[in-house]
Amino acid sequence: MSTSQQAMGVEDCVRAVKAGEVSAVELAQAALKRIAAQDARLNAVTRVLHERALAEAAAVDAKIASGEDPGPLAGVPYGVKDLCDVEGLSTTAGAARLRNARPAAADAEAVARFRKAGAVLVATLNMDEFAYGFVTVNAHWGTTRNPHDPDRFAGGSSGGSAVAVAAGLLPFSIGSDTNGSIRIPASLCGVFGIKPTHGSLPMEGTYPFSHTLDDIGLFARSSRDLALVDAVLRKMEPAAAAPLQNAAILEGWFADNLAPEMRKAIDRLDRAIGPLPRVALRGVAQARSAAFLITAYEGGQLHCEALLADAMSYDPSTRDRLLAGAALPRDVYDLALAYRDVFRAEIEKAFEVHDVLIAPAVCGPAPLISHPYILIDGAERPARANLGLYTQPISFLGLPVVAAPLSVDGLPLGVQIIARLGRDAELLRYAACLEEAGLLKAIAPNQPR
Amino acid sequence: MTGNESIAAIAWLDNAQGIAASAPFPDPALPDEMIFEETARQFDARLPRACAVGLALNVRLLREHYLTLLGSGR
Repeated sequence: MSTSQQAMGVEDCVRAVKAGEVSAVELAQAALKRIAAQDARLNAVTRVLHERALAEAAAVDAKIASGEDPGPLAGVPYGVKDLCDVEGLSTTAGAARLRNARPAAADAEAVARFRKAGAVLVATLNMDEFAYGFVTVNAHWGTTRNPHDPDRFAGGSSGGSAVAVAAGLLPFSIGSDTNGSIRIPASLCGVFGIKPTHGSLPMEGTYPFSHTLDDIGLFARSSRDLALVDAVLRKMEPAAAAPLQNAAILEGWFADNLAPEMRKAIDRLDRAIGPLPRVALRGVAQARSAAFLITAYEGGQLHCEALLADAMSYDPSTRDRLLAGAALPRDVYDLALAYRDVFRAEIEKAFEVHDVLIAPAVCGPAPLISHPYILIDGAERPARANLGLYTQPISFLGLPVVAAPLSVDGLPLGVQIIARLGRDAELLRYAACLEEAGLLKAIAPNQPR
Repeated sequence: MTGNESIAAIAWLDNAQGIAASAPFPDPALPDEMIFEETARQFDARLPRACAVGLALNVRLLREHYLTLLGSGR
């Protein structure tokens, strides 16, 4: 069991460790073996933490041997996007220029909470440099590949975190989402992800990008696993929340530019649980553009001095985007920020009638790495900057979203399940209901569907 | 339109019209090199010329988003 090609899920790991069927050290060793065997073709992992993983796992086993409670995530191996502090390591944020930065003096708060809960940190995971991209193509650390088809993008910027879970290297992982960086790779790799209500998960010890929009979040292969690790991060018991009712499907902006397979998949979901009402929001294009401008401005300001001092140490794709952002006038940024009030009023009207809004997370299946474009209004646009077409307007308002893989044949496709601020637990429960009904499903690569 | 929505939207539009008049982006029809030089002036020309093509591309992209935000794009 512990040496299989696929990691067990979170719940199964905890149950097996607590029952004495497998030790935490055996689970950690198995995860290390899977990474050694499989990551060369995926490039999800930036650093393997052998020593730390085995020490944390041994501590869990010692607690069990002495009759102590080993914690709600006893012995569960996991990985972290390379922008969360790990004590004793440089936090690279995917940048070569930070490779030899002063090592973190302490774990990020999220990592500390998982350690206290008995989880075992095994690896740091690849990302677009400074989280500025939707593809996980990194000039220094390489391209992370989609486990369902290594010729395709994993999505980004938390591509390493998504792939580590989708490929079965690890049961769960930490990522971050500013404009879609959890929702897009989750959808392209066929796993569940949560972008929480803005500011509701601990950000201490994470490398920033755009403070107005940044959140950390999680990946797992089931909504139950996602709810379990989410609750640990919030220091709460997994909520027995009532599922939300009155779902609707977003159309208009969210129905334009869909690939035929995505359109069919959403129609199939609609037939299974509906027919659901359709809601067209006004001002979505403006909301997406406002998010784009806020990100560019805040990212540009954050990096401006370093860019002027040493622009050539940046990944060229990131550098030129950050430089353009650094040149944005302040009043354009203020205008973009102010648009939130306008768009919030629009979406509130939808939430007066519906508890849940469902929208595509991506246009279609993962684009080919050799042809890095998506079609928007009939024109090919770079995937790196544009895969967030449907995700940016939602995170613009800080809303909680579960990215959920549709049960489909072929390459993975995911939807965003969206609720009001603060309803994260109810949202996870709603996703679990759809998963129990067979409408959502994480499918391991190369396994029968 | 609710009262609050109307106030938010009107205030926002007033502000947008004021900013739009100040034309804060280089002309996108300019060659890459000229967009680069115009932008680089903001940084006292401290940007390496290797950034010219990528910077111009991204300045044009931000301008597109700016126009969309103002409502004159898609």
